[in-house]
Amino acid sequence: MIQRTSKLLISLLISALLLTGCWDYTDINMMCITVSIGVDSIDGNIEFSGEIAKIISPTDVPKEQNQASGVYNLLSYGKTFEEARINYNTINPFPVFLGATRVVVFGENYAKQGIEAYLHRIDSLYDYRKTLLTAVSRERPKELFEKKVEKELSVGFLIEDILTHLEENGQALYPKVGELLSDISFGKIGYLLPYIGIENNSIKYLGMVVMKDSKMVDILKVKDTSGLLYLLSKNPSLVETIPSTNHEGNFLSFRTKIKKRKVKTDYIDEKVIINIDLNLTSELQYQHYMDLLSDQDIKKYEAIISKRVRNSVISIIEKSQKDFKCDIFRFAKIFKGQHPKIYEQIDWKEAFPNAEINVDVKTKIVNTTLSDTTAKKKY
Amino acid sequence: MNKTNIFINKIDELKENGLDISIRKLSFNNIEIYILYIQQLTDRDKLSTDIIKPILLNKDCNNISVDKLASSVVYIDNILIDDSENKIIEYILEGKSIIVLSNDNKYIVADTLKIEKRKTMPPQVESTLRGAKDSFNENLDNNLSLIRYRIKDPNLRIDKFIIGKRSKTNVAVVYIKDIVNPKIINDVKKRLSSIAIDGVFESGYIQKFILNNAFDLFPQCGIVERSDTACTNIIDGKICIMVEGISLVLTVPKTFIEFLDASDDHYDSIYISVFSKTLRILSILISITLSSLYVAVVAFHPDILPPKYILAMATGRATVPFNALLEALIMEFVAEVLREASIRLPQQIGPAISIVGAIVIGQAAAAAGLVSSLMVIIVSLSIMTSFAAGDYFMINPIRVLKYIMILLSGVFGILGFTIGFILITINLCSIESFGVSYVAPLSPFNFRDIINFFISDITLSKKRPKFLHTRDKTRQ
Repeated sequence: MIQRTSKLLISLLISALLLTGCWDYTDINMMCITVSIGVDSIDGNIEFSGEIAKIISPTDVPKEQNQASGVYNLLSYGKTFEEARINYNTINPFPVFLGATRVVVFGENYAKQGIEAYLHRIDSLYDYRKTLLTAVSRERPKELFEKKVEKELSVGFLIEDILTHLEENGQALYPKVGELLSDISFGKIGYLLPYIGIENNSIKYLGMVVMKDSKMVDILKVKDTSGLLYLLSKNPSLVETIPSTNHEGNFLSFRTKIKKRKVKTDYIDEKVIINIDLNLTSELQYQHYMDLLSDQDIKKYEAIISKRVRNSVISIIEKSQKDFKCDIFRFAKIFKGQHPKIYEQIDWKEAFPNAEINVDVKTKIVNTTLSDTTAKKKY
Repeated sequence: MNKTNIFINKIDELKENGLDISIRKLSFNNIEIYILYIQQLTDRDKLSTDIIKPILLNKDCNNISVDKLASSVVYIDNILIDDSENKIIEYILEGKSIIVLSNDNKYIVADTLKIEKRKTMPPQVESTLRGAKDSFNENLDNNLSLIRYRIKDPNLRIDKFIIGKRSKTNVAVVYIKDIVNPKIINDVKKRLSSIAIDGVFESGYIQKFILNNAFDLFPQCGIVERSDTACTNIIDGKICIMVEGISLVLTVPKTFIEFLDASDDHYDSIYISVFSKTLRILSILISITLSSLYVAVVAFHPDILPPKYILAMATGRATVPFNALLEALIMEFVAEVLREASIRLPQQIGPAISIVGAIVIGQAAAAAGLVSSLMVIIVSLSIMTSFAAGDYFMINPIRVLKYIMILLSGVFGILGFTIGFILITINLCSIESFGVSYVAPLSPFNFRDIINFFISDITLSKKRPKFLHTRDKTRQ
C-alpha cells in the first residue's frame, strides 16, 4: 500500500516537474513590466514604443510624490516585429513581461497598412492578455507615450481609464483583442477601434476608426458616433438635447438608453433585409427653464427623440453601405445565425451594401423629474 | 506460620527498604496495632480523628479483631478488608492507610488519601464568552464530579482502567450507555486495555496509543478543558476519556469540521453562528494558502492579477534581496519562532516578545528593504487567521502544511499549489476517527448534519449527528 502511494506521489512529482519547473521561476520585480505598447510604421521600419514600469522602492520616493512607480519609455526599430523585439530586448535589464500590458496603440500609418499581423502576434504570445485594449492614435505612439501625464500612472493607464469609463457610460466602444480576432476569423466584416490623440496638451478620445480588412479606411468623430453606439454599445446612454416645442429658447435634456434591441434578418428576392427595432427609454434630466409638461408634450418629445435616433442610425448604416462598403455592425453574424444555409451561398461583402435596412425606433419617456402633468387640472 | 506474623515481618521489611512509609504502633492488652501510611498522601487529621482516636478510646479491648475494628470502631467511610500480603505495598502507594493487628491474619485498608489539588479554575485553553467557566483540574474525582453534577442520567457510565505498569494511573471512560454507539465504546475500551506502558503523565500519551496511526497530521481526538463542553459531547453520543492528574480530557470520535465549532456558536443567533463558521473555514483556507499563493503569483503567474496590483507588488519587492520563495520561508520561520517563544515564556515576558516581534518584523525589516511590506501583511494575516480556528489543536497541522504548500508553490507554481491542496484533501478523506470518517458529514454526505453544523441551534437540531450512529438518535 505504502509502495503504491509513494509510486503515485513520485510519478505525480516527476510529471509536474516535466510540465513546469524551477526554470520558469522569475520574481515579478526581476522583469520589465510593460504597461503599454505602441506600434507604428516609420520609413518602412516597424517602430515599437511603449512604457515600462519603473520599479522604485517606496522608501526612495520623495515625500511630495505619493506613488512609488513611474514609467520609462521604450523605443526600438526593426524591419520585422522580431527584429524590433530583439533590439529592445538588448537594452532591457530584465526579460519583458507583457502580462500587465493594458493597451496597444497603433499609429495611423501602421493602421492604414493593416494591423492584422500584430493582432495575430498578440494572439500567439502567451503572456499577452486577450482582454487588451487596442486603439489608433492620430499622433505617433512614441509622441503619445512621451507625453507627461499627471492624471494617471502612465499614458497607457490613462487611455485605458478614459475608454473604460466612456464604455461603462455607453459613450464609446472598448474593443478587446479577443473580440477583434473573432471578427477577423469570421471574415467579411469590419470593426471599429477607438481613435485617440493629443489636444490642448491632453490625451483625448477623438472618435472611432473604421477598419476594413484590418486596414483603417475612415475616421468617425465623436459627434458622428451616436448611431453606432445605439447599435453596438452594450449600454448606450446618450444625452439628446431637444428644443422645447412650447417655449422658444428652452431646451430639454433627455438621457436615452436602450431597453431592447432586436435585429431580425431576412432574405427575399435575393436581397438581404435587416429589420432593426430599437426600444428606447428616456429620462428627462432637466430643462433649461422649468416648464410644465403635458401628456401631449411628452408624446411629442418621444416622437422627436425616436426620429433623431433613427436618423443617426440610418445615417451611419448608409455610410457603411455606400462609403465603406463594409459591415462594421456585425450584422453578418446575426444573419449567419438566423440563415446559416443562405449565408454560405451568398457573398456578404457584395450583399451588405445592397441590403435593405429598416430601422424602427420607439421611445418612452419614463421620468419627467417628478413634474406633475395633471397639476393644472387638480389645483 | 501465623499470617499476622508475616504481616509483622512485612512491616519490618518496609521499615528498611526506604519507601518513606510511616508506621504508627498502638498497644492494647498485648495486642499490637500497626497503622501504615505515607505522610505526603495521607490526610493526617482524618487519620488521627477517624482511626487512631476511636481505637484508643475503645473500651472493649478484649475481643479486638480486624472485623470488629472495621465494623464498630473506625469512622472512615471507605474501607475494605484484605489478607493479601503482596497488595499491602500497592495500597499504601495509592494513599491508603493499612491497619494491621498482631492477632489477626487480615488487615484493614482505609481510604485516607489526600492530595493537594487546584481549585476549579476558569479555562485556559478553551476560552468562552458565555459558556460555563468551571474547567477540569488534575483531580480525577473532581472532574468526574463536574460531569455527574451536570448529567444525572442513570445511564451515565464511568468505566475505570488502570494504565501504566509503574504509574498506575487511573483512566476513566465516561459515556451514556443508551446513546453511545456500542462499536465505538468497545473499540475505545479495547484500545485502552491493550496499552502497555510504564507511566502515563499526560492525556496525549493515551491519545497517541488509541489513535490509528502515529503519522497522521490532523488531530482525531477532541481535547476538552471545560466540563460543559465535555457534557455536551457525552450527550451527543461521544466518549470522554479522563486521565488522573491531567486537566485536559479527550473526546472521541471527532471529525474535521467539529474542530471549527465553538461553544459560543450554540448560544448566539443562527446568523452569528453561520457567519462565525464561514469565517473560520475561510480563515483556515487563508492560513494554509495565502503565503503559498503569494509565492506562486510573484514567481510564476503575476498575470492573474490586475495590472495595477502587479505594479504595486513589483514596487513593494524592489529592494528585497531574496526571491519570493526564500522571503516567504524566512518570514514564516521568524513568525513561528516568535509564536513559539511567546508560548513558552512566562506570562510577564510574553508581551515583550510580541513588541520586539512587531517592531523587528513589522517595521524594521520592511523599512530596511529585507522583506516587502506585502509579505509582512501576508504573514501576519496568515498567523492571525490560524488562530481563528475554533479549536486550538487544529492550529498545529496548519503550521506544518503551510510550509509544504509554500515549497510546492515555489517549485511548481500554481500546479504545485493545486497538487498540495489535492494531497491535503486526499489525506483528510483517508482518515478515520474510531470508525467515523474524518470528513463527515461531507463524506459520507449528510445535508442535515451540514446545516446543523452551520446553524448550531439546539431548537432546530432535533437529531444527533448521523455519522456517530448513536443508539438514541433523537435529541428532542
